[in-house]
Order: sequence, then C-alpha cells, then structure tokens
Amino acid sequence: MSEMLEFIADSAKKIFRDQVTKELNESVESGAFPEELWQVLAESGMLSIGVPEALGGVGGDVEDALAVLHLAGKHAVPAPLLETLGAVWTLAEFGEEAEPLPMSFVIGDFLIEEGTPLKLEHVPWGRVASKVIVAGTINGKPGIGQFSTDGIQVVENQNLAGEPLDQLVINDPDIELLSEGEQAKQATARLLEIGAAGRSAMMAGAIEHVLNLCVFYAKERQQFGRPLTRFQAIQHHIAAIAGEAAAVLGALSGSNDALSRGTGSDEIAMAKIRISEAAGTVSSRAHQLHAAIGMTYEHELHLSTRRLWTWREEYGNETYWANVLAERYLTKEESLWESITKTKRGNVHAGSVV
Amino acid sequence: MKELQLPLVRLTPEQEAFRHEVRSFLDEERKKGTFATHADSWLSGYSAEFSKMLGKRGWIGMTWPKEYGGSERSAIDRYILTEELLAAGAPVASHWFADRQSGPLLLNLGTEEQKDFFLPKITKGECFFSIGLSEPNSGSDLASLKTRAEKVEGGWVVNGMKTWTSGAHHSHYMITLCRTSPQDEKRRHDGMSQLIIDLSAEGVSIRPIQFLTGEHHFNEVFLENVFVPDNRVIGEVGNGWKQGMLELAYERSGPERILSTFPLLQEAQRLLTEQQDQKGLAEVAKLNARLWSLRNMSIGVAQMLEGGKDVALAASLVKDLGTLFEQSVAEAVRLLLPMRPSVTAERLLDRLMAESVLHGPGFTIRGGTTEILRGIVAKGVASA
Ligand SMILES: Cc1cc2nc3c(=O)[nH]c(=O)nc-3n(C[C@H](O)[C@H](O)[C@H](O)COP(=O)(O)OP(=O)(O)OC[C@H]3O[C@@H](n4cnc5c(N)ncnc54)[C@H](O)[C@@H]3O)c2cc1C
Repeated sequence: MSEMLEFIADSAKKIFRDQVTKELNESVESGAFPEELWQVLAESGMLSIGVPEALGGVGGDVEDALAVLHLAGKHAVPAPLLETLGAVWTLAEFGEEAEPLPMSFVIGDFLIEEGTPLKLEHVPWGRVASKVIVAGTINGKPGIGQFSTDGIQVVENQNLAGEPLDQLVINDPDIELLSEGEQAKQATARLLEIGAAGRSAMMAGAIEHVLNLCVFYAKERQQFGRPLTRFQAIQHHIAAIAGEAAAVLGALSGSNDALSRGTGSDEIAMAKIRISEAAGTVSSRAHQLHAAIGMTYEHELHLSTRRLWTWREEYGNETYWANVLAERYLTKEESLWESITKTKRGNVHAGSVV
Repeated sequence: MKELQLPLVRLTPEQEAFRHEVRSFLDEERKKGTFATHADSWLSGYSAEFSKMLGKRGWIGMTWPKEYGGSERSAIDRYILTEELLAAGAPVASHWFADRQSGPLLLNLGTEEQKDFFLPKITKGECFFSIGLSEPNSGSDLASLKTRAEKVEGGWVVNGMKTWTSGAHHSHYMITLCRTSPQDEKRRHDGMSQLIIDLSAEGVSIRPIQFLTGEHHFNEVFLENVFVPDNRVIGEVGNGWKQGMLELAYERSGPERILSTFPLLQEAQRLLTEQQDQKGLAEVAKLNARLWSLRNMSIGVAQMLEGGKDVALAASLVKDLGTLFEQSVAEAVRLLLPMRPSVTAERLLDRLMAESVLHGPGFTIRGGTTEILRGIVAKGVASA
C-alpha cells in the first residue's frame, strides 16, 4: 500500500465510521440526499481521487479509488460514489475539470433526435445527478457525451437496495459530445470496466461486513440453551461464508494488481464473475443463519445483502462477463493454461505476477 | 423405504374441468384489474375483498362438511385450486392460514360450538387466522416458549408475547401455543395448550415489524392479562404440542412450498420463448423437471393426508426440497435475461425478480428452518 493510499484509506474509514449510520441509510432510502456526508467527502478529496491536480483533483490512481470503494461497500455508504468517480474520470480523460457534485453515467445504445424526448432508463442516482454521462452508441455510432440535468423530468424508481435508479426524460435532448469513433469505444469499454471493478471492490467490502455480522450474531443468539456457534449447521454457514470472503479478497487483489499494471481486462471480468457469485452465496447463507431477525428492516443485515443483490447485477453480471471472456477465448489463439499463466508455449518471460 | 414412496395422483376429467374453471376465473379477474400477479402472494398478498370473492364461490374450506359451510370437495380439488391461485400470484394471504390449518385443526379437534362458530365464517372469507408460535427467544427451540395461561374462573388469563406473527394486523384470531402448566426441563413438550385468542380482545396489542423491503407482513403481538374463555381452548389442555405437530404436515407439504416464485419462472419462459432463446429455455426445462417432480410429491402427500396417513417425513422433505427450488428459480433466471430488479419497476420481470430475491431468504426459514427440518428428516429416516 502506498503512503498516499494508506492515508486515503484511513480518512475514508474515519469518515464512514462517523457519518454512515443506520439512520442515515434509512433517511436516504426514504428520499433524502446525504448532504453532510457528501460535503465531507468533497472536502477530503474523495470525489476526485485519480484526477490529476491540474484538473482540480487530488491525484492518486484508480487503485486508491478502489480502496475507498471497498470501504464504502463495507460501510454501506448511501451515496453515488462510484457513479460520480466514473463520471469524473471520464470527463478528466477529455480534459474537463473535476467538480464535487453528484454525477452519474449510463452505458447503452442511445437514439437522440431533435424534437423527440429522450428517455434514459435506469440512471443510478438520476434525481440528484448534476450531469449524466452517456456512453456506448449514439445514433448507431460509438459515442460518448454528457447531459446537464437542468430541467430534466425524473420518474423515480429504485434498485433492490432502495437507492435511486431513475428514468430521466429529456424533452429537448441537447447532448455535448465528448468523443466519437474508436476513442469513444475505448472510453466506453473503460467506463464499463471501472463500473465492474468498482462494484467488485464494494461487494468485497460488503461481504466482509456480512461475515462479521454473522459471527457476532451466532455468538450472541442462543437456542436450545447454547449459542448458535455450537451447532454444526451454523458452523458450516460461517465456514462457507469465510471461504467466499477469502476467495473474494483474492480475486479483488488479483484484479486490482492487473489493473494497476494496465493489463486488467480479463482479471476485471473474472473478479466480477467470482465476486457476484459469492454475493449470492454469502447473502443466502447469512440470512439463513440470522433467520427471522435478518428479514427485518430493523436489523442491519439487509443494508449489506440488498446491496450485494443489486451490485451483482450492475456493470455486467456473471453471464455478461462470462460471454465477454468466451468471445476472447474464441479469438485468441491461446490454451486455457496459457491464458491462466499468461505465458505462451516457448515464450517464457520473467516477471509474471501470479 | 416405503415412507418415501408417495402415490402418483392422476387427475380425473372432472378435476381437469375444475382447474379450467379456476383458471378462467383468475384470468378474468386479472384482466378486470382485481389483482396483479406477485411472487410470494400467499404471505404478502392481502385482500379481504378477494378472499370474500373466493368464499362466495365455495373456494375456502372447500373440503369441509357442508354443515359448516364447506363443499365436501376432495383434497385434490383443493390442491388444484390452491396451485392455480399461487401460479397466478393471486392475493390469498388473508385467509391462507385459516383455510390451510386453523380450520382443519378445528374440524379435527374443535368442539361442536367452535366448529359452528368459526368454520362457516372462515368459508365465507370473513374470518382470518394467524399462527402464534414463535417468541423472541423461542424460534427453532419452540418448546422453550414462555407465554403462559393461568386458570381463572371460566377461562384463562394469558400473558406473554408472540413475534413474527404473519398477518396479525389483518386477522381476527390467533391460535396461540402457550404454557398452561410450568415448564419442566425433563418433559419439555408437556404442559402446553392451544388457545384461540380474539385479536380484538382487551390486553392484546399488535405492533408491526417492518420487513426488509419496508413492507408490513409480520408483527409482534403482546398479550397482557388477556382473558380467554374455557370454550376457546382447542382439544385437550396440556396436549398443545402434539396437536400443533399434527398441523405441520398441512403446513409443510402444500403447493405454497414450491410455487412462491413460480410467476417469475413463468414470465421468464414467456420472454425466452418470445426471443426464441433455446439455451435459456433449456435452463428453464431443468427447473421445470425439478418442479414437476416436486409437484408429484406434493400432490401425493395431499392424497395421503386425506386418507389419514402419517406423512410427517414426506411433508418435511417436500418443504426442504421445495423451498430450495423456489430460491433457485430466482438465482437461475437472473442469469438468463438481462434485468434491473426493482420492486417499483414497471416491467413485470424486474418486479417479480425483486420480490423473489428479497422474499427468498424467508422461504427456508418460515414454518421451520431448513436446518431443523433436516434434523427431523434424518431422525425419521433412521428410525423408519
Ligand atoms: C417470513 C416469515 C414469516 C413467519 N411467520 C410466522 C408466523 O406467522 N407465526 C409464527 O409463529 N412464526 C412465524 N415465523 C417465524 C419462524 O417460524 C421462525 O423464524 C423459525 O422458526 C426460526 O426461528 P428464529 O427465527 O428464531 O431462528 P433461530 O431459531 O434463532 O435460528 C437461527 C439459525 O440457527 C439455526 N438453528 C437453530 N437451532 C438449531 C439446531 N438445533 N441445529 C442446527 N441449526 C439450528 C436455524 O436453522 C437458523 O439457521 C415467520 C418467519 C418468517 C421469516
């Protein structure tokens, strides 16, 4: 961990611990925006990590940001952190300065015609976003652009965790194109990967937290005159969750490492697959262990499990990324083993990182 | 092992005609907007009006004797009715417990006065029951329950609390398992009785417990010096545990243990067919093979129950396999179709997915957890 990273992680931890309470989560779910938390995040530079200082950022890199997102997942932070960072990084790529405002991005195929209202579906935090980046294809061609959200109509909808996932209706769509063609294609692919890597980091954090909750509850709750930890069925749940948590952390550091070396495409895909899978197993076992109490709004388990159920679907679920990898297998002339070891037959080179 | 061999039930032309009748009714009412399809509708779909509509058609307590408002139909007819209701995701929660277990319990063990008083009202869809078993410190270890009834002149005075009581805020009565003599650690199952508590009685207060979706399904029920007259004791005083265990076979083997997420599977199959997605449909086929075999088991148990046979073991097996199946429908379907699950979604698939995922964990908890069920099954198999 770099010194910078350590510093950032420490202050993020402190902010989340102080600010992110169950009450905050409840108020956000019933429609409020966490203004105070957002202010603190802005002041501490969390909203521009990875943006060069020349563009108003605090510097650092994507790995630093992923460390913060990991903690945000652990603490169930109810704010558009990944959405804003993704937008800010994209804008920085095209030379725009970072602003500490909530933003969002959507990836898809967009048809923009003058005079016809444009409906953007499933915009995370759409109702509070000051800007929305759209990336993918625009009128059939690779493109990436931005909308300011002034005067946009919002049809409110929510994800499984109760966070905004809105429809935005833009009556007179006036898009500011950032890029087209090959460059836009690459920027879109990158944005999707940022989304996937970000959600993987957040899920890893949430899984760690769920494990802690399970251990705590199993020690405390008694049935048949003994704590749940004494029942073998419960021990199996805890062991299985711990195993998933360990596998998840391994997948995450593997993909972060590849990402920092600029070769992370396959690893991001594999991490998102593996961690999404773990999200399902861990949530299901954790609920089973908690039984009825875990099905209540009052108990905090759902703050993590509902996020896990949401995040595993976002920026590509297991099916999506498995298909991406399958396509790569079809086009690369590489055996599975060569791809795992990143070493071609007869082409041994030093320094492969496992 | 003969305990695992369940009869295969072949439906008669009359029974198939009845299925047709139920299905047309449901199609029509759905078109009229009487109800919308939801997953897990037997726990969360409350509609007193819909229950009344079913009551008018003789579709509540339909197997019970005519003198108590029933229609004397067979258990298989009832099975057909309930599985059609669940497959359509119709709002049947209000009367579910009364029809499934409270009524049958009263028919078996109730006094003539109790049967006359409760059963006709239940069949009209005007009288709903809740199940008062669990307490904060007595979930799986139900025999440790603390709610107690003390004998007074003309009845009992009940003190204690029940929790996770589904639908108590809509129900009129709660069948309450409580202690009628002090706890004896050596004979843990003795000294308990089943009392019918009028939920509007003095001393009863009901506090909602918010479900993790924010909805209101279950409750805490506080009982403070609640007077229960002698004629509201079910069966024998002190025999409550055994009586309660008899209900479990009804509770564990029905179609609601295999169909809670069926509306999602149905919608997925429709979309995949529309898209001519053969690979996706092949996954649906695997799920359907599980459902088909479970349904055979579940109908078989219904048939045996009607014949008065002991099906405790098979019923527990249906619940274990069935509820896991219900959960795996959501886990499988999410990988077949792109979706954005949300309880507020307009798109049916997204909404049913959200309901199935968020309610899913409860399937293997309510009515006895998987872990506890497996203990029962293992014991049953070992001693068979
Ligand atoms: C949606 C829903 C609706 C419900 N509706 C009702 C209702 O209407 N009326 C009612 O009375 N109750 C109702 N319940 C409560 C339900 O019956 C209990 O949740 C269930 O019996 C488990 O009890 P518990 O939640 O206290 O879990 P606990 O008993 O505390 O169990 C916690 C965990 O420990 C495990 N465990 C406990 N003992 C053992 C053991 N000996 N060996 C191995 N593992 C063990 C359990 O399997 C579980 O995984 C409902 C529950 C839910 C989720």
